[in-house]
Amino acid sequence: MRTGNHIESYPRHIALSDNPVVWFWLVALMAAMIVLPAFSGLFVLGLAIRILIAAVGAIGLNLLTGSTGQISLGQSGFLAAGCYTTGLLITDYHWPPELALPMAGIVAAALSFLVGIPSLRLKGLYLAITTLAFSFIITQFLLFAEPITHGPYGVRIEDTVLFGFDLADPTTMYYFCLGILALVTLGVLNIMRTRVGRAFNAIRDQDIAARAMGINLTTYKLTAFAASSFIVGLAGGLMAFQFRFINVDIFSVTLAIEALAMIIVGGLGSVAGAIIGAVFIILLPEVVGDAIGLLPAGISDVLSRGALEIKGLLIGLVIILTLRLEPDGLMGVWRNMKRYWSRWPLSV
Amino acid sequence: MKMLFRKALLAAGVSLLATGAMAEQGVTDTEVVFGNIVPLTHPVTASLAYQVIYGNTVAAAEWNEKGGINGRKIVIKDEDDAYVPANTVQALQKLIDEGVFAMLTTGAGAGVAATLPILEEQAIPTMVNFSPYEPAVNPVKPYIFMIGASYEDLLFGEIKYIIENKMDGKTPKIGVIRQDDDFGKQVEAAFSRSIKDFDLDYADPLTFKRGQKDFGAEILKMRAAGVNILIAGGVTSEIPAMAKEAAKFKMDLQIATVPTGQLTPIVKLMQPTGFTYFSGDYVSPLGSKGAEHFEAMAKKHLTEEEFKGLSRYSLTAYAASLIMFKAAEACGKDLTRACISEKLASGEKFETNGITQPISFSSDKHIAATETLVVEIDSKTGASKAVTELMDF
Repeated sequence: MRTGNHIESYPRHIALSDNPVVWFWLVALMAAMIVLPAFSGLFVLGLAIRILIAAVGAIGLNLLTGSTGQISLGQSGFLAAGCYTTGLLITDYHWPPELALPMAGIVAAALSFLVGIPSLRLKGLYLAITTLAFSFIITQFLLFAEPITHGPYGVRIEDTVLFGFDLADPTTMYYFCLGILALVTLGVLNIMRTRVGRAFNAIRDQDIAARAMGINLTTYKLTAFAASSFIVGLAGGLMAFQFRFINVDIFSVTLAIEALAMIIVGGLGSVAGAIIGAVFIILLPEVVGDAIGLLPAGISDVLSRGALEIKGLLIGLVIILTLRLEPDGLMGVWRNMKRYWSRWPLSV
Repeated sequence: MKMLFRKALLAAGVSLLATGAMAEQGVTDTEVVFGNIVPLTHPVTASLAYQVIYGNTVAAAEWNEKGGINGRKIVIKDEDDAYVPANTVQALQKLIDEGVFAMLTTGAGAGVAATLPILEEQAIPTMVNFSPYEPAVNPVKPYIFMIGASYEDLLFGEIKYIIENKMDGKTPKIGVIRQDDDFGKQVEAAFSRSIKDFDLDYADPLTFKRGQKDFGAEILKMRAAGVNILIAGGVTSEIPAMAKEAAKFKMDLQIATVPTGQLTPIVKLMQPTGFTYFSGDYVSPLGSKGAEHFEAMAKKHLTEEEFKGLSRYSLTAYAASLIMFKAAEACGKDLTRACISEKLASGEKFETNGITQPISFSSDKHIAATETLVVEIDSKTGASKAVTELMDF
């Protein structure tokens, strides 16, 4: 009878997974995702692209907030910085999209030092407010620096061909985003297996103790900010190709709250949790909308007029319930289920 | 057996191809499906969105009563974008999946801009009317048409009227308080043009963020600058909020607003201020002779509550729908997207049952109904009247 999972060597301990069943299901999931466009319409594909981009952004935020413990509400600012960098470089400076996309990450990472440096002296709520202020600065800059950013008129992106593939085609865009998500996932999982990743976790758990153990807080906190913002900026760059028209309205504060909801609901500190959280939060309003549609006509009409408010209420409710009932989020639920299953009939 | 299976597959493929070649998306022998994207759940614009839907509904009901488009019943599918461009794109993708033939409205402001690439790629005939957006038709895009004057033209017409008729010998000094977005930029364009064309004295323009409730500071600045003509560049509740502050400081002010200034809730909110103010439009006001036919149809096809909710947005939506339906009917039984676009751009004059001047587009001009009239609104009585004829500015 199996009584637990005993790891006897360090390489096995840091392996992405030592369980062939996990690899089997991962391959099955990837196969399902690869064939999805063959069975989907434009709407489902659009929704899938939104989920993939949100998952990239959520992984980036998770690296900073979930793994390093630095609360950030400035994600919409970094997304906007990445999105506008790609859009403006392509439209106004005629950069090839192949270079404009990575520049989204690089510019966002560079900007992260503006927030990262003050963060060395700030914690918790103070840091959250600083990052929120940063996102306001970014959106106000985009709005008022009209000669550079087109101001309120937004930017239309015409050149969407990357390495010969036109991202204006939803199927191509889907596969491209899937590829980026896979790369970002592997990259972050690998960072978390290294000294850098362990330093991030140590800072999150007790920064004074981490410092006493020889971890340079300045270096690692700034590294976390830069790495996280690079990934979030990359997600912003993808948004430029997703919409092909960008303006400041896209980057509201709600976006930052949603991003935070994704990693809390999915499970703080877990890459898989960030992905599951992104799926959950993006699909939530769609599922609610469909559920409202199934209600009797009178009730359905009343509720559909307040769909935006209902969405907000539900996101709030989900966060409260998660924090109250399962602080480890959906990944925590999954871990509990696995434990119950593997230890049955001795599970409690 | 294997051979038979292959033949069956081939036959099925050929028949599918033939059907695809013959039938246009959203058109069957019995129905034509049109799409509509409006901000149904945005706190500020939701009521306007419903007014648009009422206008579309009246046009479709009137047309269906007459037998539809060449015997095909008109079906309209509405989607909500909550005034968020990302949602507008998603809503359009959903409507395309559900098989719409053409679009009657595609959101407002940046939402229109966000959908343009898809509309062009998919060659979907579209009538922009909820919120005029010039880049939608300039440069000309084969399938996209727009009715309605720009905010710049509408406000410029009002300023011109005020200067010529309402200054009573006083030296005009103009000011603007405008939203900090693309809409606000159009408002400020009217301000700049007025200064240039009439050589006006002016106060520096002020901006505000969408949703601002209190305008005390802005109005005080206008008062200190001696402004006596104010462009209240808000969309809805910001207009009475500015007027309320101006009334508090007993300012002698002529106020110019965008067409939302005519909406019943705004007029009611303006009532305590006592101002008589101005709005511009390119459709005949409700209650006027031009809107008689529409109101009769609305009474017939809407509920009492819906009828009470009508506004000038219902009229613009009605006019846009009529034009689209008429162009579709002109295509006869062989209704295709290419045909409807061709008919719209043919230069033919489309009547809108008195709501606008007859509307016509051409191959190099996809915008129409740009002539505007000035509406004077007495907030004390709630009465509004057109004080000019339709004119081109």
